[in-house]
Amino acid sequence: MTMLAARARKRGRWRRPLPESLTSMAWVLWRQHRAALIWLGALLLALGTAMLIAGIRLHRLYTAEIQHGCLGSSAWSTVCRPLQTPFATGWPLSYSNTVVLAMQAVPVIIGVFLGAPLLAREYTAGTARFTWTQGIGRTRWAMLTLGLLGAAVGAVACLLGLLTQWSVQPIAAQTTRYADRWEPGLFDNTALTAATAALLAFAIGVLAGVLIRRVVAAMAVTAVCAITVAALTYNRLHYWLVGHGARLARDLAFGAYPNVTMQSSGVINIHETVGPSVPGPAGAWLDQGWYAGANGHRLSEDTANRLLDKYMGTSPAWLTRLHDTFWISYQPGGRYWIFQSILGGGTLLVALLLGAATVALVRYWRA
Amino acid sequence: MNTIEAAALGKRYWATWALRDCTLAIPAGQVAALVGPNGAGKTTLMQLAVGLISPTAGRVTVLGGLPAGSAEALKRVAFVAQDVPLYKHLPVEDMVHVARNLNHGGRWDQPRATNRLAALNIPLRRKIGKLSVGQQAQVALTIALARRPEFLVLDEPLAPLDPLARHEFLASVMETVAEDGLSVLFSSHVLPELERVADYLVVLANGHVQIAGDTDALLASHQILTGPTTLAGALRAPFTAVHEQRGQAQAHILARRTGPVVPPPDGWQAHPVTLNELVLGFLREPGVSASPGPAPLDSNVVTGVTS
Repeated sequence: MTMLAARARKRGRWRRPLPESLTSMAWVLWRQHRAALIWLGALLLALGTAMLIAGIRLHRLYTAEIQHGCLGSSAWSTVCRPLQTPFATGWPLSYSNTVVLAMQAVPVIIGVFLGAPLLAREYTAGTARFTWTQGIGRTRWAMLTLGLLGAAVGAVACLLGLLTQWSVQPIAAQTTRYADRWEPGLFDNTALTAATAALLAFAIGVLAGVLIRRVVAAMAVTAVCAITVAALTYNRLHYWLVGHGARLARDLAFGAYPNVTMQSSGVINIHETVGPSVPGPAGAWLDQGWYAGANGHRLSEDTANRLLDKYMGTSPAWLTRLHDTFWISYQPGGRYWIFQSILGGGTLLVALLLGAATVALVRYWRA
Repeated sequence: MNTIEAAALGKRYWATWALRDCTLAIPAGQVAALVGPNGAGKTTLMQLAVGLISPTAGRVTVLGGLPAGSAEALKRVAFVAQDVPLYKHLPVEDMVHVARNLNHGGRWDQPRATNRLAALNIPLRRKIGKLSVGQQAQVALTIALARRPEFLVLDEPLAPLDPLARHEFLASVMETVAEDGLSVLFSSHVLPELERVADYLVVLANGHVQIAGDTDALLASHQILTGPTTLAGALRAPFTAVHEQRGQAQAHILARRTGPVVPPPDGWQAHPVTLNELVLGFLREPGVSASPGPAPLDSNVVTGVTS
């Protein structure tokens, strides 16, 4: 087959229309849920537009910094000052936090306002008795409804995730403190994890709708569940996951000047990516650190703090002098996408299981 | 072929049986009326027939053996549920479009839908919720008929309608029956209308089939016997009392006759029974049954006596 023929065939495939059963059902869903889809779409479009505008401004500033050789603190000049100031004291400092906060709300909004009423309204209005006795059949109807809306939800959240990552790039390139890709805020809002988180919240919503069969109650339960899942993922699951299989290393530089609080167990949760201000293996994410004595055992919080109070600032090499060691556990930068796949894949799997449970309930539970 | 066949069919909700030991076979091509008091199991039987619910016991098939609710059955059976649940926020034309898309690949007849709505003067751009109850019922019926079903199931379609709307609704159904030869099963409390349209009658009571059969045959085999109250207890075969109404001097008995036509017993006068009287007689005696069910028709079990 010639290249031209191959291209023509490929083009033909693109032009082939979607199966009519899909477009028919898509029209039904659009017509039934038009109001919710329009306002939800407008809200997410506004968020996306805001990120796009912010991203363009940040990228322009960053490009200008590169062009004028303003990267790095040593390049402070009258030309560089207006370019560097926004990153040092202006809105970009809080931008990533703000955008992450907005992105955390996206799955909750989708679950509450699209997922929960989707099937609950069919029960409360009694229209399930109409829809489920049509030729399409209730199982197929449920699968197409969840599949089509789920695909739309996933696609929109995926786009928002891409925008998030793209718009914070100029900040991350200068300091990981305000835009750390391993931190849950950004880690859980990549194209992959944002899409799967939105799908999970959507699946929670539709399942709650089927189980509760009351719109407002289903929305309330979905809100509680989606917020709980997000909070647990951000605060617990994320750190539990990315702490798995961490490598160990002795780290003299970090241990001499620890800048984070020690837990009662003597462990310090570092949770930072190695960068200009954070020493360690290049590109790695530092999980935890702890002091070990000459015998190799971890020092207690009290002992470690006494040593820190006594010796910190005297010399970077005070640990060596005392034959103590500061250990860090870290994930090499190359493992980032492995953990992305694990979190995204796991979330998607749970969402699919909830979706399957919803279809089964529609199929076997009375209308 | 039977439009619906039920064998020992039962449906239980928690500890309560909504329908029990229901054995039934309604021949194809009939307009069958399903009658019974509230809570008799009519809606349960219909929802089982269209696959909205699954039986707890027994089985039900439609159109010559198709499992109720199966993909093939759904393509050939149309259902109009009680209270006409349509999407109230949609205009009529969009509601019809939704129905067409939900029956994609079936036998959807768009001209039939369009022509019916035009003939009924139903405004296409008006929202379903803004239509009168009668118009909503007609839209639901239009959608059901546009599917060109072989079996149409109507759950209490007449209840919310005024007499004129009732007449128009039934006229529409009968017109399509004449055109397409489809079978119909409808439940109703409106007894006078039944006489006009029902070829087949099923009376349900307390979740059991009380009586089922061809309407003409049932009317022919039942009579109202009028005679002295003193003779009311001495009714003999081939007559069996279904329901007695005793006055001081005269008694009126709805009686079933087995076998050929015979003159009434001495001292009694026989009158033909109307469908209304037949149904009411059975409804007043929920313990009596004349078709497969738990309590066979037997003079010993006829206990209901009113003065």
